[in-house]
Amino acid sequence: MKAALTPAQKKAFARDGFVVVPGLVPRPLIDAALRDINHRLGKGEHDGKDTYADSVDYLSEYVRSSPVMDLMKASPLRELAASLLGHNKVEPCTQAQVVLRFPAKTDESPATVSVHIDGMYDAARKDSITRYSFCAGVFLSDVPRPGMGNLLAFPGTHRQIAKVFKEKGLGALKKGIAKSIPLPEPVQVTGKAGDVVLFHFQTAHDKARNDSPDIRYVAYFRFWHVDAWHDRSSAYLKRALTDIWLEWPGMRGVHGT
Amino acid sequence: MELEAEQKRRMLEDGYVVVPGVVPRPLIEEALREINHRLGLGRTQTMDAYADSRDYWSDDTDAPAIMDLLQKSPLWELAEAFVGTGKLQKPASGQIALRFPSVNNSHGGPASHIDGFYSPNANKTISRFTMLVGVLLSDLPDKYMGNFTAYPGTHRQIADFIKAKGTAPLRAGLAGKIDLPEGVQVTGKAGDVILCHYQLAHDKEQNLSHLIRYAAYWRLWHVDAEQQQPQGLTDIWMEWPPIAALQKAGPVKNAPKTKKGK
Repeated sequence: MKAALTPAQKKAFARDGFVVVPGLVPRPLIDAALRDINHRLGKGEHDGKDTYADSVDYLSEYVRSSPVMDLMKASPLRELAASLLGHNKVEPCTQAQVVLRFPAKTDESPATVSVHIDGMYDAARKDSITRYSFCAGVFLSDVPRPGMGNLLAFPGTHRQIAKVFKEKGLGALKKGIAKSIPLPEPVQVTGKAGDVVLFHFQTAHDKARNDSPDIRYVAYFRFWHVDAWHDRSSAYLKRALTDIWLEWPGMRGVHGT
Repeated sequence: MELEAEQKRRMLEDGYVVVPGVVPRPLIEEALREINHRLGLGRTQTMDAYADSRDYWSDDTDAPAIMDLLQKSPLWELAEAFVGTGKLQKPASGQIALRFPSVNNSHGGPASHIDGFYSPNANKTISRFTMLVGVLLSDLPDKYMGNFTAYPGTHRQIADFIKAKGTAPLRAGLAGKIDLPEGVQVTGKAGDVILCHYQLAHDKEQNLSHLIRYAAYWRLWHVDAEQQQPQGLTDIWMEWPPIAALQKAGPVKNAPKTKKGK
């Protein structure tokens, strides 16, 4: 089976900047990854813990273990990435970000955290943006409704942000996205274990609080087009941030790209 | 609450009984929310000293969400039915016991035990309580999911051993002293409960699944347990009138077997 988005999925992706692909990762791969992640949770040792992660209800760590990497390598996800960015145009992905969202106590945890695009963390520090092409989040647990620690996506912001960059330059978001563009109503992304949410690098997102009894498990893979990986010049950066489908031959001809 | 005849029979003969669906789902979910929130906080100061950092996590707590599993469900009344209404001391805390997936056989080998003997301070007094009760907080449809493992009938074997040789030989463990029967890995669904006689040998099995096994336990003391500590080790039904009466009545021929371990 060739992995590719359907025309309807491409249309939604172009419009919203994110799309959920159901059932992409087979159950045995999910179970093997969960076993690895839950074992590590028991050990309490998280060598690759993300410095942005607080210790209250969020655990984020960068993982290269086989069971976690197989979610991408042994599933159709890698081929799906190639279908979008071009064959031989996807820089090999060497790590995953495993993100657990624990049940919150409502008086301790905000309903949302901070609207962002990933590279913006660097924008404040280094006056530049670290960008990749897109992120794929593999659901490792069922997230059937809002309020379960869902990914919070702001539809269409990939286009809005490109427009702001075009008009005001790459420093346009330094005060934060919420103060720089009119944000649409966010969508709490739902799905089942094995589903994959794809979101364009430039789609504003956040994480919702987990009011459920269960831990929410997701593994994120960030894909770079080879040009983005090798050309770190400000000229290429500006070009890619304003021409948001530059690296996407698989999206050519889709309305809105 | 009236005990079923078969529940009494299994307690007498096996030393434990599994009762399905005792704790309602909303109480289970509140407990899971509490436990999973704690997991996000990392290791806590109240963690059991016996808990290693490999695949076992044990935490004693008086958090309402945990205590409600016992006190706001029919479990308390069920436990009282075995010893008499008003005859159990209210526990101050419960034990959260998680068993994480193990890899590379990190189990460490079998460690069948009864709780009061399992202490690094082997010369200290044996801390005998009356009944161990546990609530499954996650489904355990199969073996090797970190199941509670019971050794049926060992409560009687251990009483006989203590009668003959005293408690001292058991301080170093049960292995080699008690001829252990095949262990029963208790399976079941979230909300099922297990009630055990204090003196039942038990263990925790390796978790080869991908899921965390969630359970909560309480050690319940008869109101007179402190006063009759050593006697209860050999007269094992002295705090259990319904079971003592059944024992006195003698064995039942061809007693039907319940589904052991459910």
